[in-house]
Amino acid sequence: MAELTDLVPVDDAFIRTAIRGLRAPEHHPAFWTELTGELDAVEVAMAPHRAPVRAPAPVRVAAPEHEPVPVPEPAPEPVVELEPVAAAAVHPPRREPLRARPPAHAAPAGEGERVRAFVPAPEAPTAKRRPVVHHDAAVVPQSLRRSSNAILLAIAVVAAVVALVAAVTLVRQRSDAGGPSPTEQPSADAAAAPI
Amino acid sequence: MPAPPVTISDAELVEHARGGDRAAFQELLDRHDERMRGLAYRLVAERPGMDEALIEAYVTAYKGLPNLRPGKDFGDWLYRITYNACVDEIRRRREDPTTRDLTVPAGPSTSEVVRAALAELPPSQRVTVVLVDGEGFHHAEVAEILGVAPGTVSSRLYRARTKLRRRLWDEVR
Repeated sequence: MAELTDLVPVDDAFIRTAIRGLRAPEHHPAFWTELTGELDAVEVAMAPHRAPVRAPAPVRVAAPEHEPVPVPEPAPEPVVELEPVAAAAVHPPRREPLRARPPAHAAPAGEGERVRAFVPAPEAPTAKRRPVVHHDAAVVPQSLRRSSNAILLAIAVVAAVVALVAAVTLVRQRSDAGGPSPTEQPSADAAAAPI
Repeated sequence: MPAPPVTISDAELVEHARGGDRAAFQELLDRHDERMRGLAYRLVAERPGMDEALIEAYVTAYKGLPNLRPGKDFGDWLYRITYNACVDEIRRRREDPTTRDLTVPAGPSTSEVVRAALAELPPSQRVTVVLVDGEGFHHAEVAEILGVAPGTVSSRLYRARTKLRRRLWDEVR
């Protein structure tokens, strides 16, 4: 036989209020300590696996074992202010819209970088143009270049003299002999044979 | 005038915690602990069991942080982990009846009466009534969570509500 409570509809609101009114107590005082210990154990166990996803380690600067060899700083080159043309080559001018661009020769000086590149440079603020020298030649000292030129010249003169002497000697030998050349002389056997 | 506190989102804290920042993980727990305590206490219906279940849940969450998909709500994720831990704890306590606390202290408060009434319910009925009436899930959702038919949820819910009502009514009288 069914009980009365089974037949009467259950009051959901009553149960809901009762359950939701159930306030959870605070943790046991040792809860967080125990949890910390558990997490420490987990961390130790997972350390090899979690290493790659860990936050990046602080950057350490290790002291060098040996004293580093001092590297001489490159000699500072004299700073030469570039002329406007050269400056335009280093820093290409910005592209501007094609419309409303006045011709370069008609543009007043100081209107813009691109235009100034085509205008003769003013005298005062610019430095003198540096002499153009080839890097390879610049490596060889001037004095050495002079001596090598003299050696080459001497060798050429000697060669010319030798060639001249040889030619003269050959001509003299030919004129002194007067007979046929060695290739034209008959062999010894042919000369001894009876006619 | 003091500067307003900087609020860091759960997602940002999760990112920090993934990198091993325990303080960030602790902050996440602080934010969600009250809700998890409520769930655990209603499901397990005992304070020691609640603590046991929550330690297991939080450790599981810490281990599982690398698997938490970006953009997934940490609270919902932790809630599911806590629920599973509570179910395990209920199962453990059912196998070891000595751990069950069905006593009602003298001069009990309303909360103690409700807790003892919940503790008397069979675990399957208790979980069902807590999820529906305590946590506000629909029958179909609870059926999916528990892996049973919706009709089973209805019958368990009916029995659980009936017992609770009777028990609470007795206490009131």
